[in-house]
Amino acid sequence: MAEEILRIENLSKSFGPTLANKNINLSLKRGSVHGLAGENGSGKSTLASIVCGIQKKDSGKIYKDGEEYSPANPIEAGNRHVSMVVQELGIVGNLSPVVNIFLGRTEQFKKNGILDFNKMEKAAREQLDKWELGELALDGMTETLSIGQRKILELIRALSIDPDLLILDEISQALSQDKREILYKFIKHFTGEGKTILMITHDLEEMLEICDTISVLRDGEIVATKACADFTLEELKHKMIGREIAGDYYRNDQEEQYGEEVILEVEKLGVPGQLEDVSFQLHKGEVLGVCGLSDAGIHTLGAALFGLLEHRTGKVCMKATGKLLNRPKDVIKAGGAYLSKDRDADGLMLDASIGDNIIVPNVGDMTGKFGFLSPGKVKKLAQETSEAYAIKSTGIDHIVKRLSGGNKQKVNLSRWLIKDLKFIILDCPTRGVDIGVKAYIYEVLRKAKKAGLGIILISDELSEAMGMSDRILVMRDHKKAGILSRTTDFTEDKIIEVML
Amino acid sequence: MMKMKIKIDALLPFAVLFLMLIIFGVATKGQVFNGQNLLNLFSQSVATIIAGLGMIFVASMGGTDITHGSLLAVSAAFAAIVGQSFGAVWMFPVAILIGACSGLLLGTLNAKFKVPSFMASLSMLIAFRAFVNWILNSRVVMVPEEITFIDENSFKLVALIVMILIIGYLFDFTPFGTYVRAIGENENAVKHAGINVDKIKIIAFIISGIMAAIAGVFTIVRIGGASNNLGSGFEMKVMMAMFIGGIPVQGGMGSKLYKLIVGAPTIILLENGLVLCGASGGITQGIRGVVLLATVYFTLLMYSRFGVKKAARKIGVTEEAN
Repeated sequence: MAEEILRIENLSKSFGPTLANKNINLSLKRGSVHGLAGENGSGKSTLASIVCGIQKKDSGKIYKDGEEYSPANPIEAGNRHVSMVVQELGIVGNLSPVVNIFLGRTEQFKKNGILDFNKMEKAAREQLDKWELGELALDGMTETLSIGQRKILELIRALSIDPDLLILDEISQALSQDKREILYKFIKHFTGEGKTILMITHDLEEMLEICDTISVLRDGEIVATKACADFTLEELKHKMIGREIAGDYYRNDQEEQYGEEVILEVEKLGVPGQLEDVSFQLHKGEVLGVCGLSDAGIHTLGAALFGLLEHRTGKVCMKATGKLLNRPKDVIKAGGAYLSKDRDADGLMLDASIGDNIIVPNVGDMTGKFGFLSPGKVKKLAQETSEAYAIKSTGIDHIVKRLSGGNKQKVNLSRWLIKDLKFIILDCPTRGVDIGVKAYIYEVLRKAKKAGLGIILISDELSEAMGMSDRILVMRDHKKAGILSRTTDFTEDKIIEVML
Repeated sequence: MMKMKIKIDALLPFAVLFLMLIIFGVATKGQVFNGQNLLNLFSQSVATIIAGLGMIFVASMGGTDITHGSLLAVSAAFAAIVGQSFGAVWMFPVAILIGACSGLLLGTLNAKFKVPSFMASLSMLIAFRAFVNWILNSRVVMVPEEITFIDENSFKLVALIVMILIIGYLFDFTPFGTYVRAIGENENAVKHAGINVDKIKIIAFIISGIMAAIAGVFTIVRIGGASNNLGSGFEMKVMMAMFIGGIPVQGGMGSKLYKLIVGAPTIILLENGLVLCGASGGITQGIRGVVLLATVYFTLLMYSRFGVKKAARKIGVTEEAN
C-alpha cells in the first residue's frame, strides 16, 4: 500500500483581497509523481511555494511524514527533506555553478575558515552522476550556461539537500527535447527510490505521460484529483478552464501552403562558434518552424537573423528590394520584428504600464511635423491594441509585471502585430503561457499567416512546430540539418531522425 | 488603486514645496514672501532649472551626469574670454560648442565604451576643474558689458519659458523622449525594438552638456566674472532639484519635466529660508542632505505602495507571487 508523505488540510492563502489558495486538501503518496494542473494565476505556484517554505500559509495544516509541518523558510523545509526548483531562475550569474549549488549551505565545506572547492565540486559531481543528469561544466561563470543548463543546475541544487519530496515548477518549459528525456528518466529513477515529486507544468500531454495522480486547480480551489489513467486530455483542459476548448488548437491540414513570393532570403548565415552556413528562404504567408536539440543553435539563429550578434557572416536580405538586413534597425525598417525567448529581459519593460510597453516599437511611425508625437494618438493606439488583443487587465495603466505570463506575452506580441509587418521571428512564443492564451496565440498567428505575413517560429516543442509550420528547418550542431515539408515529412520520428 | 498612485505621485513635489513655503513663511514671519526675496528666489533658480532641463534626459535613462559643476565653469570661462576678445555675441555659441563636445565625449564613453556614467562623469568633473584652474590661473575674467542685459529678470523669464517649451516638446512629444524613458525601464527591450540605443544615449548626454553650458553663461553674467571655484557643487544642486521634485532615482517612465520645475525652487527656497532664519552655512548643508534623503525615501515608498516599480525592488519590497 502506498504510504502518505504529505497531507494538506484546509489550507488557505490570500494576497490582499485575492484568494490564491482556498481550502486546499491534498494527499501525496510516497514514490509517486503528483501533477498540479491549472491556468496561470490558478494558485499552483503559490501552493508549491507554501509547501517549500517560501510563502507562509494563512490557515490550515500540513503534515509531513505524519508530523505537523510549517516551514518558516526554505532552509527549514530543507531540514524536513523538502526542496523545490522554482519557475523563475534563481541563480546568481557571476558565481560559479558549483557555488550556486551550495549557496547558503557552504558551511559543511569549510576547512579552517576556507572553502574547499574541490570537495564542493566532488559533492556536486556525485549528484550529477547519481541521477544521470548529463554533462555540465561546474566551474566558470554560471551566466555563460544556457537556460536549460541552468535549470539542470537548479535541479542539482534542489537535490543536494537529499529531499524525499521534490517540487518541480515548470521545469520542462526551459528544457529542449533531449534535456527533457534526461528529466523524465531522472523522475523515474527518483520515484523508484520511494521518493515523491510534485510537478507543475503547462504541458498537459507531458503531465499525462509522467504523472501518477493529477490535481486540477481553478481559481485557487482544487476542482478534481484523480489517477492519471482516468483523465483524458480533453477532460483535463475542460476541468482547468471550466469550459470546452473547441477542437484542437493546431492546424489540421496536411499540406504546406504559402505564397510564391519570397520575402526573406538568407544565405550562408554564420556566427563564429555558434552558427554555420545556414541558408533558407521565407515565403509570403509561410510559417517556417525551426527545431533542434538544445545547443543546436536554434535560438542563436533568431538573434543572428535580427542582427544582434557581432561578427556575423553571410547575408540576410529582403528579396523584393534586395535590402540587406545587418542590424536590428534594418530589420525593423524593412518590416520585420523579433521576439526573443526571454521576453522579460529582452522584450518588456516590466515596471512600466501596458500602454508604455505597447507604444515603444510604434512611436517611430506615428510622428507628424517636427517629430511631433500626439499624446492622444499614442493613448488611443495603446487602448485599441489592448482591447483588440483582449489583454486582461484593469486598463492600459496596469503595470506589466503584475500580469500573468499569458497576458504579458499578449502585450509583447500585439505591439508588433499592429504594425504593418512583412515577417516576424518568434522565439518560443508560447513559453510559460497557459493553454487558453496558447490557443489564442496560435489563432493570431493563423490570421497573420492568412494576411500574408512570413513567420519564423523557433520552438523547443516539437508538437508546436509540427502543429503550426508549413516547413520545418531542423538544426544540428549549429548547422542546418535539413528542411522538412508538411506535405511529406511531418512525423515525429522523421524529424527526430534529422535532429540527431 | 492605480488612479490613487498617479494622484499621489503627481502631488508629492507640490506638497513638498507647499510645506517648505509654510514652514519658512512662519519661521521668517513672512519675510520669505517679501517681493525682493521672491525675485531673488527666481533669479537663483534659473541656472538650476536650465541645467536640470538637460540633465533630466540622462536621469530618465537611469544615468548620471555630474560633469555639470566643472563644465559650467569651463564653458563660462571660455565664453567670457572669447566674449572679451571677439564680442559678446560669441559667448553662447562658444559655450554651447564646449557643452556639446563634453556631452559627446561622456556619451561615447558611456554608450560605446560601457563606462558607467557616474564614474565617467566624475572623472570629467575632476579633469575639467583642473582645466579651469589652468586657464584662469587664479585670475578673474570679467564678462563684457554688453551682455549684462541677459541678467534682467524679464529676459531670464522669457528665455526660461522658451527653453522649457523646447525641452518639454522634445521630452514629452517626440519618440526620442519616449525612448529615453524606455531605456531607463529596460535598455534591452529598446534595443530589441530596433532602436539605436547608443545614438539615443549620446544625444541625451549632448543635450545635458549643452544645457549645462547655457546655465554657465547665465551664471557668469549674474556674478559678473569667472573665478576658479565658479560652479563648484552645482551638479549636486541640479540633482537635488530633480530628486526632490520626485523624479525616480532609477529613471524610467516616472520621469516628468514638471517635477524638475517644481523641485528647483523647492531646493532654492530651502537654502534661502534657512539663511533668512539665520542658520549658518554648515547647518544649511546638513539640513539639505536630510531633506533630500527624506524626499527620495518617500518617493521610493510611494512607488512601492502604489506602483511596485523598480524602486520597490531596490528597497527590498517583495512582489506577490503569481
